[in-house]
Amino acid sequence: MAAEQQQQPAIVAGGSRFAVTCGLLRQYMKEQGGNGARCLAPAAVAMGLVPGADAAAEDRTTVLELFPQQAGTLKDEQQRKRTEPGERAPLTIFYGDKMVVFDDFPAEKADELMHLAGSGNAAAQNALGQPNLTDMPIARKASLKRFLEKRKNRLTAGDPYPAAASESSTKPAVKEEGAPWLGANSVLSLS
Amino acid sequence: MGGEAEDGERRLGRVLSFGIPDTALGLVMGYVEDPWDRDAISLVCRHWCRVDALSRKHVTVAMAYSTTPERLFRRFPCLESLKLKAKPRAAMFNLISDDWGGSASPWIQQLSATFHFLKKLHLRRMIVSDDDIAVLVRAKAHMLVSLKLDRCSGFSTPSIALVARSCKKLETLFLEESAIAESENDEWIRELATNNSVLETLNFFLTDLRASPEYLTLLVRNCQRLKTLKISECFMPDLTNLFRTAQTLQEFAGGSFEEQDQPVVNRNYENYYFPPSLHRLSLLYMGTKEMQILFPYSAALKKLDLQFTFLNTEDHCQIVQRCPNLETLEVRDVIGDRGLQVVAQTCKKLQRLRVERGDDDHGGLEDEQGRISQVGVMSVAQGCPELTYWAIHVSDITNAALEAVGTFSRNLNDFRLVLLDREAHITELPLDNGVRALLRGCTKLRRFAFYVRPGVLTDVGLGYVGEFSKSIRYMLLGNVGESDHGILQLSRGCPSLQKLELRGCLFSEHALAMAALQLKSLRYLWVQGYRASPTGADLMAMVRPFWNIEFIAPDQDGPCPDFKKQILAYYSLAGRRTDCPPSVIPLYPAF
Repeated sequence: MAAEQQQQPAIVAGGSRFAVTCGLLRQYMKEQGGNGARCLAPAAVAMGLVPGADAAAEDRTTVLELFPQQAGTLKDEQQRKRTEPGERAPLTIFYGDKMVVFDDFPAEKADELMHLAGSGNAAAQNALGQPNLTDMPIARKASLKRFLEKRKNRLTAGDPYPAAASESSTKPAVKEEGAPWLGANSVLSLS
Repeated sequence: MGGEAEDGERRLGRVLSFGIPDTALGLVMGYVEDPWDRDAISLVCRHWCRVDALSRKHVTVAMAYSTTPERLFRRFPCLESLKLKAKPRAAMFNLISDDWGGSASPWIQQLSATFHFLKKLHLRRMIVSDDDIAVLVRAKAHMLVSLKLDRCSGFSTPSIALVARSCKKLETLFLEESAIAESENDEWIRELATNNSVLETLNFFLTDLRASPEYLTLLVRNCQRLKTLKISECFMPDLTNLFRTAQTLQEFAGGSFEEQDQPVVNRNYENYYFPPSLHRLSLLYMGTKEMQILFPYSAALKKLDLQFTFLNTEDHCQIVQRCPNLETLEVRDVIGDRGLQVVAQTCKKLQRLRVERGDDDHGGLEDEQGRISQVGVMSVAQGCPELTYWAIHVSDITNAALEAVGTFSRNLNDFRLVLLDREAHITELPLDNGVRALLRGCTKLRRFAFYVRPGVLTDVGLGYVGEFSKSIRYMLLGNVGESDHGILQLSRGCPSLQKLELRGCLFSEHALAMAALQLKSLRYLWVQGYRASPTGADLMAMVRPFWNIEFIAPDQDGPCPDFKKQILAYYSLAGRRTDCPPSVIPLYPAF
């Protein structure tokens, strides 16, 4: 029980950070008028957003040829590159157990992102001024809340320790938020 | 310029007034009851405004701080019925501190001294003191036909006794969900029973008020016109005499049954007597063992509220399949997809459906089948074409299900969906296209709530909401959008939106302010969870005449965490609030 409680905050914090990152990336893509169809750079960049690790930047490695067909269009691509303001590349982010792939990510934004990731989590979050929504559970209607408490008391009325039971019933719910489903679905949306 | 326009207006007014004799105008006005039509009429010319003002019988003031009692009386001196609402809706979810405000005193002082024709008063989410009730009774006891203290607080049972003793014409006494002191004292019911013979509605449902079966039976015996009786907890076997007496009763709510784990007393509810006229029922704490109480009457039931029961999914199915005539059904999500499929097959006349969130605080479900998804939503959409009101808490939802609502539920004027956060995975993201299809199909929607999880409705989806909600007046959005762009897109549309509530969205103060300026019909904005600027200065971008802006920080004991901070902004002719508690900081007007 104690171990569980200790673990919870870490999961929660991780979730909202991941959400922040995704939101930020999406915004960057929009600003850049990013178009997934235009895949210009030859290599994909994989990035590990390890919590709190300055090593994140060092983790940058070239991993995959996701678009081998580009090999044959190298010249064409170089011509186009000259007209493009910034270099773009597919970007894959691994975070915790999750993965997000962007087809067309500007290099300078990637640098900014690296910087953000390297500068630590607290800073990253504050930079966005985001309230911690994991503390903001869906509110329950007061009338229903009262009933459910009474219901719980009735159900545990036979319990030899009813006081303890009702105490636990009023304890704020431990929420599993954000991260697991958001991650899973970010991957899903790529297909 | 101004003079010309004014001249023009006067000429137009004269033409219209001369065209229709005052007598005719007065007669026609008598048939116009819809407040929106009345508003339109009052804008035609000064004369019509005056005719409307003198003949207006009912007014709802949706925000008590938006005007003053004096101003209301000056415009509508002949009001017979007044409804006032004060605290934001969030108060019903314990999100507003008790001392927020909303005192009825200034209103009751004024309407007691003036409003000579007032006979119906409805106060919702307000603070009503015993003194207020004493003042009201002194002035209006001989007039009052209906008194509704709806989700109010601040008064005690002796005041209700005073009302019961003094207001002999009272047909409706409504106290639902009010917090009332001295709850053990039920003398007021005896007073009501012995002093009133015209009562038609008595409602103290969801209060802690004690009510002895003897007094209630006496009341039913003496008030032979009683149609609606909604009480608090009261042991059902003690109410048998009451039901045998109440031959005109159409609606009953309240009651209670044995504790679930008590040794079976062999009590048989199969032959419990309800009057034949009873068509609307809500029984508190009803469990599997007691649900047979409904079976002999279920075919005639038009309204059934199972929100406050112990029933599991199977029980819901058993009951609902016996109720083909239901027009209103209220349940918790324990009904499950399976229960909703039974609803869809059985309840072809269903007009109102509410599915509230069940007990999932510890991650578990009340019943392993008690979860609602796209399956249940689709079934209901296809099976219940008459729905006008539909509020539902789901654990999962897809674009196709929302599309089905848009395709089949063409009569909806109020749709509210909350996507719960208990499931780790939801099937589909985002739901932008589903929302677009829903709004395109449900053209009669006036109210719309979409409270979901981050990632479900993107900025593009918010753009759709703006584009396809031509006649929506009230909207609640939770956890929607990705950036400021979303709310700005939304605010380009929504031409009829008067009241907007936002929770858990990451919009900046600046974007909120810009949206408030852009939404043409907006007159009320409530926000909790946003990107606050260090000083709140960015909000001031929405400053304009008569637009009150208040900042609410409910926690006074320490620094208020960001996620609890709220913004409330509304049009007001009353100027700055003068009764703000420390937790409410008026930002504009400055004084």
